Amino acid sequence: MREVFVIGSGMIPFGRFPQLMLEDFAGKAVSEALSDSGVDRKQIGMAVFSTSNGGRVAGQRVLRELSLTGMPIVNVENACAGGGTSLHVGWMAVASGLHDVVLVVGMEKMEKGLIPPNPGEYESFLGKTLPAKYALRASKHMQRYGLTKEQLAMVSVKNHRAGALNPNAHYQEEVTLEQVLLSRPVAEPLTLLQCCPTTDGAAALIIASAEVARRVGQKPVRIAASVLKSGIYRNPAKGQSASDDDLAERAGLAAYEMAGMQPSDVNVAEVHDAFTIGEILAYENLGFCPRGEGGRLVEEGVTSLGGRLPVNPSGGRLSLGHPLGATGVAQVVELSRQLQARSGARQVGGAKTALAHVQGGSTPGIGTGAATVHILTV
Amino acid sequence: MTTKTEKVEASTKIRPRIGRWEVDDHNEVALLGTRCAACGEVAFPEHQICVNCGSESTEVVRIKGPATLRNYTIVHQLPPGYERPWVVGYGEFDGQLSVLAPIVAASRDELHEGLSLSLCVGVTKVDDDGEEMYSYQFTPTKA
Repeated sequence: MREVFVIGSGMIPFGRFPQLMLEDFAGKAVSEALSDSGVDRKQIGMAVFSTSNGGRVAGQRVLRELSLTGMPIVNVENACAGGGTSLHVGWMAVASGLHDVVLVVGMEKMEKGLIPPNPGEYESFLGKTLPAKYALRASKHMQRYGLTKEQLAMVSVKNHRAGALNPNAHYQEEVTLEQVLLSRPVAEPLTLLQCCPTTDGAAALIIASAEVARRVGQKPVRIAASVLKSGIYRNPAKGQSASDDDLAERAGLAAYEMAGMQPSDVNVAEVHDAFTIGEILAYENLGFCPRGEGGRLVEEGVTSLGGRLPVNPSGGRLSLGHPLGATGVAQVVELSRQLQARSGARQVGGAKTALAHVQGGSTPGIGTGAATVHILTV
Repeated sequence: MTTKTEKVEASTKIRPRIGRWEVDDHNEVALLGTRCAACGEVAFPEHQICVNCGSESTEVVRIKGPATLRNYTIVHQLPPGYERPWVVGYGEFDGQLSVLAPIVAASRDELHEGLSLSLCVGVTKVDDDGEEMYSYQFTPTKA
């Protein structure tokens, strides 16, 4: 396997674009990534796109606008983990030696309100909406480990504070603990400001072999690990960990092993905070703290900007926004720029190693459909 | 004995595959699950291939209450067709498996981990075309 590097990144400011199609805005992220990388557009050997709502041949429709077709274009769907999955597919293509330069794009236009369930997702018929799924995980954590409502809300306060420093964030305003706790309940204990907004957006990366990376302008960021896993059946009634936690844990362990690293090597991370509890559980599943101590980690400021391990410096899904297929790519845009010391007011000083985690696709019996973990180093 | 699923199977609509249940002459509700002959895992809804070990040797079992409430959430934002707020939670059957179901006729005060739950059947959703859609539900066990 060859080493793979991120050599260019681009994204558009996330927001709501009711009048626009993917074809109207995703190309801007591609153009920015291309010029950031300094590679000639003719060098792109393959493109991988991720979208859940984008319809058929979405990547071709976007690249046609840029007169950039002819090479293999793969369209990936893996729910909230789609962006991470498209990076994994691109990574495989470069690592295997098949292509030297690959374009990876995540993009999405979201419907307002709750994400409608898949027809086969029977638990949602019973009333388990997506926020309810996370609320159930929160209530279990509160019972078992004493996680408090305030600690949950602090995740939202922290991420909005970071998002306020990110010109690409959908919501660039700080919120107070009181505002979070008193916003309307969606699925208890989760309130509205603990649930990601519905956001449109696009993000793009150019990834390449070491040989290409040596010749271009930007400081290359090495992809030290790229891992994709799917959920498996677990039975908590028999004392096994829940499928959702098991999935993130397996993906994290495999990534640390591939990178030859430990959780303590990570300087900055982007994790899946579609709901506040998601971030708390990610701390624990990815080994940032022991099981049950995620609430304390956020309360003590460890994961705030300026803390020992800043998490979601982009503002996370809660403030940057969560256009499903775009999210995993946007995380790596943020983290590669952090490692290149290009993040302005939200720069994590001296960051050398970063971790990106997304997971999603609620699937009864196996918890979550897909998760990816990427580790980046400079 | 009647099974709600007979009516469901006669319809041409795509239905959520929430699993089958039976109501006996004493109005007791049982869920129809499967037990694996190889590893003993009990699953609900039924799985012809064992969810735990992949064996194709499974047999139908009846899962009866009471169950023990493990965790729940009071849901305020739902698609059209549900009562609001709506409570869903996991009931655990004898350390064998947990089942997610709506929890009905329970006051906020009595909802806590360890609460004994009985199975019942009721309307969970009124569909877009006005049809009442039934499912298994939990309700606090009466003394």
